[in-house]
This record gives sequence, C-alpha cells and structure tokens, in this order.
Amino acid sequence: MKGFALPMALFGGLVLAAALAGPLSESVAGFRYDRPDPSSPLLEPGGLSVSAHPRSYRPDDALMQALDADGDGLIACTRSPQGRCFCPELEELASVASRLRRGFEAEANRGVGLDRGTDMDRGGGVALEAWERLLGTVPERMAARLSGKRLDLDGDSTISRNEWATGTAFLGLDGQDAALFDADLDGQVTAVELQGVPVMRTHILGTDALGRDLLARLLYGLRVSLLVSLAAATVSLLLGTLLGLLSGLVGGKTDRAFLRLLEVLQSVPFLFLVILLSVFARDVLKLRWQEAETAALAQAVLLFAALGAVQWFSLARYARGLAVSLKEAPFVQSLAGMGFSTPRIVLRHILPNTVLPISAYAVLLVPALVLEEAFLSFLGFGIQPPYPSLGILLGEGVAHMAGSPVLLVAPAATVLVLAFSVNLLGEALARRLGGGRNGA
Amino acid sequence: MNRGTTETRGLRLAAARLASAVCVLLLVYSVSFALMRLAPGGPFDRLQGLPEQTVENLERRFGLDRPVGEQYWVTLSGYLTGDLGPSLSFAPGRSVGEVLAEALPVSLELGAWALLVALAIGGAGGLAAGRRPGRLLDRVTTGMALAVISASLIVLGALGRELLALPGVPLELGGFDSWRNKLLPVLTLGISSGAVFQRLIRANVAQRMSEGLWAAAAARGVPPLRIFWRYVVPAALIPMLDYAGPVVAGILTGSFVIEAIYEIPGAAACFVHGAQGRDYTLVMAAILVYAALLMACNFLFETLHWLVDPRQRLGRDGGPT
Repeated sequence: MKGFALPMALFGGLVLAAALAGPLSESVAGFRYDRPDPSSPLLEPGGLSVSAHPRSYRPDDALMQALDADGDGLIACTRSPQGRCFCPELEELASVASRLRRGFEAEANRGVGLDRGTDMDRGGGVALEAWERLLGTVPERMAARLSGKRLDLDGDSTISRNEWATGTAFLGLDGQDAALFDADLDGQVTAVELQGVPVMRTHILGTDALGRDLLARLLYGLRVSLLVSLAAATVSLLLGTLLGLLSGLVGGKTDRAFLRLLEVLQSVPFLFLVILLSVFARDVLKLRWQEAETAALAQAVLLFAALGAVQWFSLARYARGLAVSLKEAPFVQSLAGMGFSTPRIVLRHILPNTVLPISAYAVLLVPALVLEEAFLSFLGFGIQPPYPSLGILLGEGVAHMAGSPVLLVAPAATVLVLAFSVNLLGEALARRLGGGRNGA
Repeated sequence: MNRGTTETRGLRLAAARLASAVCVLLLVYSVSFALMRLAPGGPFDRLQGLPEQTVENLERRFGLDRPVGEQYWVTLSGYLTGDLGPSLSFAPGRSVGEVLAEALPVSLELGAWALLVALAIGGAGGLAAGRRPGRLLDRVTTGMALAVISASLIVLGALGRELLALPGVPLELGGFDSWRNKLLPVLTLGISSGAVFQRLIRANVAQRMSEGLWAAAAARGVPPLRIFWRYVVPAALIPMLDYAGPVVAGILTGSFVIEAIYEIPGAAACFVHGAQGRDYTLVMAAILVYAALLMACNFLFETLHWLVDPRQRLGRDGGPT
C-alpha cells in the first residue's frame, strides 16, 4: 500500500474532523459557528492593530478617521524591543465601530439593505430595524450612542453610508472605556491587553471579525464544503457513469450522437448559468422560507445538484471509453462465444470491472468541486450565511488578511491539505490500478 | 462509407459546428432569460423608497411591463441587429454595448497575457518533468504544480495582494492600464493555469516516453535529444489541443476571482455586479458574449488540431480513448 498511508491519514483526519464538527467545536472550542462569543472583548485578534508599521487609510474611511486621534493620516503602531505592539490610537470604542461596520457590511450583504458592491459605493443604506438588530450584539453603553433613531438623520428609516459615517464620528476618542483594558496601568492600551489574554485563552484560533470562534467555523465550514462536494460528486458520478457506460455498450449511432452531444455541452459556459441559478434560487427560496437557515440549506442542496449536473461530461467520456475497451476485451469476446447472455455479461463481468477505475477517476472530482464551491462562495454566489464554508472563510480571510492573517491562513491551509491529500490519493489509486492492468 | 475529399469534409464539419454553435447560443439565451425573469425582484429594487408610479414608469420605459414572451422576442431580435439594449442598474443611462466595449478588452488582455504566462511556465515545467518521470526534477515541479492547484486561486491572489503592501514594491492595486497594475494579476492567473498545463503536459510526455517510439528511434541511432524534440514532444503536445477548450474556460473562470481580488474593472466584474443588481440586459449580453467567445476558441483549437494532425483529417479516431 505504498503511497496510500499519508494521503489516507490526512484525508481521513479531515473527514473525521468534519464529521465530529459539532462535538469537537463544543468541547474543544466551546463555541458555535454562528454566534459571536459574548464574553470576548470586542476586538478581533489583531483586528486593526497588530502590524509593525503604521497603516495609512483612504481619506473617506470614517472608521479609520475616527481612530486617527492626532489626525496625521496614519494609525500609529510601534513595536517595542520585547515584540509588543503599542497602538495608542486604538481602543475599545474603535473596535465597536469596527465591529458595527462589519456588521453593517454583513447586513448589507445579506440583502437587508442592498447587494454587495452596489450598496456601500452608491449611498444605499441599511434598514433601521436591521441596524437595531446589529446593535444588539454590542454592549449597552455603546448601543445607546448609536441607536438607529439617532443615526437616521433624514428620517427615511434607513441608515445611509453618510449617516453612518456621521454616527461613527460621534464615537470620538474619550479614552474612558479604553482605561478598562489597561491591565498594567502604564497608560497605554496594548494590543496584547486588548485581544491577547481573554481571546487566546479560550478561542484556539481566535475569533473572526464578528467575534465568532474561528475553529468552530472552520470545522463547520469543512463539513459544509465536504458535504456539498461529495454530494455533487455523487450526482455527477451517477449521471456520468450511467450515461457513459450505456453509450459505450450500445455503440453505433447512439454512441456517436452521445459523443457529439458531450462536445457541444462542453463548450457551454455553465459557470455563468450556475451563478444565475444561484441568484435565482436565493431569492425564490427566501420568499418560500422566512428563516435564513432553512433557505440557506435549501440553496446549498440546489447548488450542489447544479454543480454535479455540470461536472459529469469528462466522467461520461471516461466511462464510455472504458465500456468500449471492455466490450472488445478478449475475455468478454470469449464469454460471448461461450453463449452467455448479454445482460449477464454486462452485469456480472463488465460492470464489476469498471468500479475501481471509475472510482479512482471520481476521487479527483472531490478536490475540484471543493475548489469550485470555494470559488462560488468567494464571489458571494455559493453557500449563504449563517452557514460557513471553506469558500466563505477564504473570502473573509482575504478581506481581513492585513490585520489578522490567521483568518486567511487557517482556511487556506485546510483547503490545501484537503485538495493535496485527495489528489495524492487519486493518483496512488490510479497508479495501482494501472500497474495491475498492465500486469494482467 | 463515402467521405468525399478532405476539403469538403472539412467544410461540412465547419458548417455543422456553426449550426451547433447557433443552437447552443439560443439555448444559453433561453435558459438565462428564464432564470433572470422568473426570479422575484427587479433591476429597480435598489432604488428603495421610489414611488410605485416611478418604478412603473421605469419598467414601461425599458419594456419590462410587456408579456414575458414578447420581451423574449424583442430582446432576441435586438441582439440579431447588434443592439444590446440599455444597462438597467449597473451603469444606468449607458448602453450595454458601451459598458462591454470598455470592460471586455480589459478581461481579454488579462486572459491573453495569462495564457502566455501559463503556456511558458506549464510547457517548460511539463516537458522537464515528463522527460524523466520519477526523477528529482519531476517530483519537485509536479509537487509544486499540485501545491499551486490545491492552494486555489483565491489564496494565490491574496498572497499577491500582500506583496503590494511590502515597502519598496513599485506595483499598484486597482485598474488595468499600466504594467504596475497588470503584472501581478497576470502572473497570478498565469501561474495557476500554468500548473494545470504542467500536469497535462507531463502526463502526456511521460506516456509517450514509455512507448515504443523511443526505443525504435534509438535503435535507428537517432540522438536522444533529437528523439525527444522531434518525436516525443510533437506526439505529446498535439493531443493537448483537445484540452485547450477547457483550459480557456478555466482562465475565464479564474478571471472572475482575479478581477475581484485585484479590483480590475473587467467583464467578469460587470457580470458579477450585474447578476446581483438584476441588470437583465447586461448579464444576458455578458453571458452570450462569453459563450460565443468560448465556442470560437474551441472552434479555433479544433481547426488547428485538424490542420496539424493528419489522423483527424482522415476521420480516424486517432487520439487515446
């Protein structure tokens, strides 16, 4: 079994982790994937602060402006010889604003306000009630300052980007709240004091931008991605194998027409249609089921069915080639010569011989589908909140990479190990089968 | 069987391809039309708080109040006369033709450069690795290719973006109009597609190397390097033309991610924002343009294959099954 041990161990470990996502995240991490941890301080690990060089910001970024106490256009950060980050301009108020801003974006993404991309840039807004819901996740003393009614300056029941910017400017930097976190009373709130101690003790990988445990999200994301891609692989395995074998066995005109059909289908840009289908499904399902979770689940089911339904072509081609070569194999010819009936030959002799090569081929579908899911979710057309998936985690990681690399590194490493191990597994399987066939 | 001369056969094949291309375009048009129109919500949902009368006026202005069947034919006949219609929500007030004429060249340039980079990297890596399968060079390059594929384009792009933040890097983020903002996107997309090339080419070359071809030529006294370049490489590369279609499709797909990460105003970005804002006209036009492009590429590579490989012209199933 040379070549199998390592990929099997890696892949098996990941599958096990995904299967045990619930108990694992509860016992080890102790948090849910979809709820912010109420006891964690409001700063995400490294959120705005932990980079050794000052970070400039776009002049229109109101949050950064609010942070920049001395107005020099830079968020100052210095690193002491002991390696601690001093970020005098950083404090809790700002982190609340940061969290609200991300919540603001998250709400907008969810479609409460408007769609991503069009909303933030074009002066749309978030509905008042959605804003109040957001405020429910921050401490009361903060929420009072940012109540939706106070922010809604023009009284149209939405918080626009401008109104929000004005609101965060209210936050100011009065320093009172920051003093709470100054553990060593040196007059400076360090990054370590803010996020290190309380965060790192309980959240093994830290928390994400909304205060949710990253490990729990990673475990559940892995589970969702694996489920979606395994299901999609099954759909395309069934379709591809069935049609391909049938076409190869029947042969003649049917076979030629089938090959031609495959060629035509392969030139259709299905990705675009899957994206459209995803948009379509999201809206239809949202009307059908009011709860976000049910709608997201239904959409995931639809998504994997669609992914599977556009991935079967190469498999069908492979299965067809296999059927043709088996049909002409000497042992099949001699069986026919001995007078065995065709159904018996097909069921007892041809089909069993296709199982291993096809499964070796199909294994390689899984990493491809995991990457495809990641791709769709990254663009916002895949799995929908509240469910995490590897693609969603990658997207969040990319957004917060500069401040908090672990948000990107953890899902990226997971995807890497997953795809790598499954690819190695498929190759080892194919090599073994190839060797066996040549030897026979 | 009467096959006629190769010329008439070729012409007939081309005509059949054209006919199926038209059918596919019609199919893509119909399916995307149905998906866009059957979904709840419309292009003007974004303008919250508009009086109902205004929305109705807008819909009448763009013909969205007509029966769906009529809209289907009106849009289709517009396409046939080259009129792609006005953009509804992505770029209000401008025509889809204008928007795409701006965005498409950007995406095409990105794709073309990336294809070149991918060919260079994948070709070199694949030939070097396939020449001596199992050796150190093979293991290193093939492992690297697998790592690049497994890492996914998203992570590669994110890492590339991090490079921009390093002090002293003369590169820029956003836009696509000088080498400063072109270099990283092109390299990222090229490297990730090159890794796919490397695997395909390596497998083909390695297979050819193990066939009798090599032994036969060596027995005739042909020097090893000449065998490799004259016999093995052409035999291994020609079947690659069959994969060209999917590879071009892969680069198209990748440009979605690259345009999102590097903030490039290309056609993929148009499509993504258009789909989310229900810009019916823009999305449909983008899909059809991409479909036509993809099929044109497929046709081009198929013709090339037909010209280069005599087995194709003779109508024999020459390729490996």
